[in-house]
Amino acid sequence: MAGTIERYQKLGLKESLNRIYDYPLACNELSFILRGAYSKVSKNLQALMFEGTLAAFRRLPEVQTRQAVSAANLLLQAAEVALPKQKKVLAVAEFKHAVVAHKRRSKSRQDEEGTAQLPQDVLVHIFSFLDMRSLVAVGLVCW
Amino acid sequence: MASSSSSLPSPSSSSSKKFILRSSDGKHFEVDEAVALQSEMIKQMVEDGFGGDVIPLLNVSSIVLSKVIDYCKKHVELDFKKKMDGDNEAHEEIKNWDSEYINVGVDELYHLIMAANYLHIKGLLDLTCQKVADIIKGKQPEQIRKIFNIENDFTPEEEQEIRKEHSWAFE
Repeated sequence: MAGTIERYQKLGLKESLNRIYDYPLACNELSFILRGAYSKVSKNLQALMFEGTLAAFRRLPEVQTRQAVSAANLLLQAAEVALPKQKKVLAVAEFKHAVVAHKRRSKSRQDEEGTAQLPQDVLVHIFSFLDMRSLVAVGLVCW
Repeated sequence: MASSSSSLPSPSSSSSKKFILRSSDGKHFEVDEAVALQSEMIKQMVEDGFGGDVIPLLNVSSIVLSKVIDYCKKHVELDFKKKMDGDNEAHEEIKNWDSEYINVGVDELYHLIMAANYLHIKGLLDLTCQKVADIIKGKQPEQIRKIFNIENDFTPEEEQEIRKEHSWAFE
């Protein structure tokens, strides 16, 4: 059983969730694991997965792309299927908080930076047209 | 611009349905259905039953909207032509028209991107974002900051750190 925990940790989902660009992928991964494996693993690993799910929802407000929102939605659906009742309630509550915070944040971003800030979805789209060298230059322009 | 023209149906488009779009500063634009439906956002509104008389576009000013409508009109026309005379010629014409159309300053480009994103016009969003990418390509960070009027909020140490990390890109 210890082997499965090790394998789960090796995936590095926690770290990936903290990287904005990896967030959607990590969310999707976690939702597949919840659906496919949650009921079959030890209590300890279940606890880790549950923790990971909550952590993912908590991160959502900081990741301002549509892709991230739909990934979090998928994770919620997986959580509703896989988790036992009490944990499910906690996860849903955390998700609702996150969505409210996410909306508030994207609204205040628009208000305060009303000058000329492109939405993150658009920036990602622009950067997708760039080669590696230009991407590095862009990364050095500002935070 | 107002809807007074509706009493005088033009022969070319009398059969097609008209939409009136209202810009954020209250100006009205009458356009053919096909032109309005270039916008996925408007299409969705119409499908959901909001296509009544006037469609309010709260985030787009009249100056930007008229430029966006130019794009949609041209692309409806060229899409039609493409169907009629086959691909190649029309393809070339679209390319030329687009590159002429997108030859604008950074400020205007910004407003066009915001409008294309809000209205969900995929072709226009691709065109504008590609233009920004073309401006950025091959430039140094200082040049990019200058073009887009961006403040450098890195400390010198942070900048040094990142440069070191990616030194291969600056050789």
